[in-house]
Amino acid sequence: MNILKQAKAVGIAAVLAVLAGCAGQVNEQAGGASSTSGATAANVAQLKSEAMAADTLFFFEFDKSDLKQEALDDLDAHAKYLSADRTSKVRLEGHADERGTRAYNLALGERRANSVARYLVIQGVNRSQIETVSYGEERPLSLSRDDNGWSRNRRVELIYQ
Amino acid sequence: MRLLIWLAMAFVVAMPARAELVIEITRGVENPIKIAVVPFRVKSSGAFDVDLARLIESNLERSGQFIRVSRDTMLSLPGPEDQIFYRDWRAIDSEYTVVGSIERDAQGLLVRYGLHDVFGERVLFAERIPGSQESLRDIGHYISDRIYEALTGIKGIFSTRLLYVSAERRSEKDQTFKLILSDADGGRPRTIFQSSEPILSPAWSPDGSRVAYMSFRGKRPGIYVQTLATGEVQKVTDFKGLNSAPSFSPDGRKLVLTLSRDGNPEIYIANLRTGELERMTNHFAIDTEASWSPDGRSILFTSSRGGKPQLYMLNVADKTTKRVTFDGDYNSNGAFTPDGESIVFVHRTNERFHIARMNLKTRELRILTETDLDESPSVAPNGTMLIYATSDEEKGLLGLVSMDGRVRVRLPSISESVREPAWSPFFN
Amino acid sequence: MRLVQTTGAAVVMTAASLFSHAAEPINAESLRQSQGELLLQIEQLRQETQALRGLMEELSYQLGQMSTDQKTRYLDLDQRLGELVRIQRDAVATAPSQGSSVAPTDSAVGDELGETAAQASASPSASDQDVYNEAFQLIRERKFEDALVAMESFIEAYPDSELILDARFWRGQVFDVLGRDEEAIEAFKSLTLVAPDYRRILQVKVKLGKLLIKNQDVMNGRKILQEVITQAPESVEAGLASRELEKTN
Repeated sequence: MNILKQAKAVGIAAVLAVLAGCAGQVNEQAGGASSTSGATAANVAQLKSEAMAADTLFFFEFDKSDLKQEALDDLDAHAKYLSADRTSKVRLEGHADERGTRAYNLALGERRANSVARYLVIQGVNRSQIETVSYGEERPLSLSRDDNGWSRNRRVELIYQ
Repeated sequence: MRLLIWLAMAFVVAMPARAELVIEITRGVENPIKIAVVPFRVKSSGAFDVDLARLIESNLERSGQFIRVSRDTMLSLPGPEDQIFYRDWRAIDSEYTVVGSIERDAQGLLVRYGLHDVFGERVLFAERIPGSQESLRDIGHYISDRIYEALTGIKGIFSTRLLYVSAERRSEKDQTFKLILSDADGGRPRTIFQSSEPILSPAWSPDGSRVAYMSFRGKRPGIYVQTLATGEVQKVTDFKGLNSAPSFSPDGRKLVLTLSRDGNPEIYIANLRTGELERMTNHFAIDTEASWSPDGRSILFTSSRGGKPQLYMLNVADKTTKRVTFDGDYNSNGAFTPDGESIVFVHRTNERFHIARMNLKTRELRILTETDLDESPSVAPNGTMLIYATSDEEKGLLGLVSMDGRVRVRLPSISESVREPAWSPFFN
Repeated sequence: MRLVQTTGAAVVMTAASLFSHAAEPINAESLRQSQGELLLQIEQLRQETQALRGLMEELSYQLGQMSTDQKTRYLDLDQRLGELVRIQRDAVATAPSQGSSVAPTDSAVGDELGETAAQASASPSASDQDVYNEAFQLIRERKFEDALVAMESFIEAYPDSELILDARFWRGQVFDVLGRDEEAIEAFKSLTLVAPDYRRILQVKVKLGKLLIKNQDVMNGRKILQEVITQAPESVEAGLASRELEKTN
């Protein structure tokens, strides 16, 4: 038990330390890029139109908050635009399906929103550009009580502000 | 005393809501007590808008321990001053008979009633209760409590109250949420808070004077404590991230709740007077739905630290945790029974969510409900039943179930979808 | 445990590979990419540790349950075996002291189960069983004074033994055989008080009733014999009790 705890702690601490270091570098790098080379207005417009064309709904498995591989391309498009235009802002709304208890699902919705937020930050978006909120199971997209409906409700909605 | 408190509370009526709940009994019990409640004789001119006899017999019947004797079969309808011919009541198998009268007087009105033991051929007790038109339902609940306690030896819960949330949905983002306070039978519903954003996890203070809940005021969710008598609202937390699932400490001075202000949902204790916060858990998984034990020493909470939601017991003194549930892959939203010996929670078996009860010592697990998507169990203060949320094809409903699972009663909603019930403590 | 080590190793490797990236000339794009991968990996690792934790919690709970069950099962088996052995031995032992002890039902059962009991006695048994057996052997050899000492030291040494009631029963019987009536009455009386469900309680009561009557406490003696008849009217002991009652009429 103790060994497990230690191994876990050491392992994760190491990864987090590395991650934190790199995130800093990336932010510097990104900041430097925009001030020196300067993203052209045309470039930003191009990125924006790509972002607007990208999907804004990201789905999850039951009781899970890890991103699906197929979400990454769309998220990359949003990340590129958000990091090119620092004035742009998004709101990430996390949701769950109706199965399971409400307060737990509220937490689950938040984890899903945070999953997306963390990915965007790593792709160069400032944390301050992102707002997250969870609605748990309170705002279902679909009212059908089957796997189809439930899978549509386990989602994060990305909304430009 | 009880009546006085009720009278005070009657003035809370902020926004009268439509009558939303109707009682419907789905299953009975073996050997219920047969009781005849004779229509109360009206001894002054003018009608009353509450049929006390109906109210009392419905209350008693809803407990599952009584069954009413139909009015049609009664051979006579005596008042409290009349002689009772016990033979007549034996003939229709009534074990107990309640007679009463109601009249207007200078102070308002006066209710008289008596409880007769048909086989013992004697009056068990009789009372005179002064009141007003507004307190008529309170009087009916009070009489129900007196009869229930006299015949079962258990304190009645008819004068307690319910809190629940109703939701009216027009579209995904256009909804109206209402926090509703009602009598224990669903009567006299009144909205005490309304919002276009979700309202969740209402919880009673141990003295029944305040309620805590999660709501959005602005774009952010927060935990609020509302004093029922005055409507005054205290903001407890509205940190970035989650502020959810409040539960009062047994002394009413603290709230245990979930915050994710440090990046992850954790259990915190908030001191309501000083505002001081103490973090109780530390794990990267979800920790939420905390509920205080009656002795104040432990906190039951849901955690996904083991990969799936399970219930854990937190020792308040040293913050150590211990897993409590091992049956099934989804156990959450736990609460203690008033004696502290058992817990009730949401338990998933065969892909369906039911309410279950587990004795903490013997670990005996009993599934109490049969519907699907059952959640939010809240135990009545006398420990005989619990109220929970369930649903039919379209909307949320509330149900009652006895702690042995034998008696089930539905409180179907007429219009709106209802959920998140919380049973009040005793008020006296 | 092996799994845990592997998980740890994977983390270290990931970290190392990232450092090697960092050592290269800074390339924002590839850094982001590897960080994205890293994020997913952390999420996977978290899920894995959570699953492991869950498994560990469940296994240790099941282990606890199993050892409790095992113990209960062993104790149950041990008790059943001990019972068989005792039934057989009692049958043999009661034969020579027929005049003073009453165990007719047991001996009948003992005959039937004799063979099984003989096999059972070969299996290993707890030490309290051995001490008890030695003390009992003395009764069988009619060395009553020695048997009394042995039974009393057994009672002192193994107050929690499953054989404790039997030891107290035989101690009473020995007192009776030795004519120490007051001590016998005391011994039997205390048995009726502390162990009303003891399997030989009817025998105890008949003996106690007889001794009380013999020692001039006719009222209580008759009362307790009457109790035996009410408690188990069909039993052999009830027959004995009614015979004793008739004698005092």
